[in-house]
Amino acid sequence: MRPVSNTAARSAVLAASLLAASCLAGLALASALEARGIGGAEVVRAAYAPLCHQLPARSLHFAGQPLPVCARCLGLYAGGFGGLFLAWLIPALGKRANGRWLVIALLPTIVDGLARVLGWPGAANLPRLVLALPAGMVAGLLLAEGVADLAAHGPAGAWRLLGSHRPGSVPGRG
Amino acid sequence: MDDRSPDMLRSTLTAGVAFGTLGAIPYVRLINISCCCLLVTACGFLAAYLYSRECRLARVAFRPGAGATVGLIAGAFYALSQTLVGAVVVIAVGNDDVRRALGWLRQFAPPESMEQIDQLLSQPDAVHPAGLVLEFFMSLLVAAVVSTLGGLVGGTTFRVAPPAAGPQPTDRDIDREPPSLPNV
Repeated sequence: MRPVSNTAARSAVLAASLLAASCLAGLALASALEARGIGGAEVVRAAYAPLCHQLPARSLHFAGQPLPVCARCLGLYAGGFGGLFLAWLIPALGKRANGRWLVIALLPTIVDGLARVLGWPGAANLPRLVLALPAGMVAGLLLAEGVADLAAHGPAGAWRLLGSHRPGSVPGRG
Repeated sequence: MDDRSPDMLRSTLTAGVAFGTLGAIPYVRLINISCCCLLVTACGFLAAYLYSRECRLARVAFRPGAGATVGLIAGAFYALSQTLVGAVVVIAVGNDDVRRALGWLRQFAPPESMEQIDQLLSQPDAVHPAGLVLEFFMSLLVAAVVSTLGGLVGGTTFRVAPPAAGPQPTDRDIDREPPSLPNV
């Protein structure tokens, strides 16, 4: 795999982190529009609706209005942006991230989620955001590697949905 | 991706149908709402894992870019199976789990959320063909983005390095008869 330090790959990672930042900005925009009574807040809020339950009690507030996603989702998005941005700043970090990091980073969120399911007192909104940050960050680092690879190689051979080759078969032989 | 790459159908179909069915099962489907589309993300992730396994068996490289593609296709299968199984479930048992969850939330919900919850509770359980098509496209839109991201993360996690460069067998090598044992 080509390293992330490749110029095109790094530019793609930067573009992805800007996209993640705009997703975060969209959250604040919806609340700000709603607070000022300007139209369009519903449209922005609806864009996030398929991704989150959007319960005001489980969400942080901005400009006196609830954000369009819950505190946990906000932590994941913010962590994702952080991970992508870190991978752009320090490409070696993105290359070091692996599945084990992801499992460890997911643990705090899983424990908090299970606590809720089991009826134990879960974390409040702000701690829930903080607990979700590591998972988002590691996912962002892994995502950065994927984006860099896509930029370097493209989704080559992407549509081999019904290729004729099975594992173990010899190519080009009937 | 090299010419010997295995086809993506088996891995994408397995992940898409498995998680699409889970996403339509009452109570289980609430995971998607409460955990940031976890089932859709996991669908792309699982598809990437299954495909990486096939690539490993076929001794070909598996790159994160291919993971994104696998995630995208698995997302399409997810949307299709979730819509179809979801319609069958609504016809058979209705949206009982969603109603019960909303009723439970209503106890703790602040006054500003009451109206939203009541509005959702007042919607009747029914399957309309137009609603089904709309639901499919909404599901497809979400799955196309989220499952692709899951596939991309899975592709990076389970990447398979290209096999070490060595002399590739030519057609002549393959056609050649195996050397016979000397007569003793």
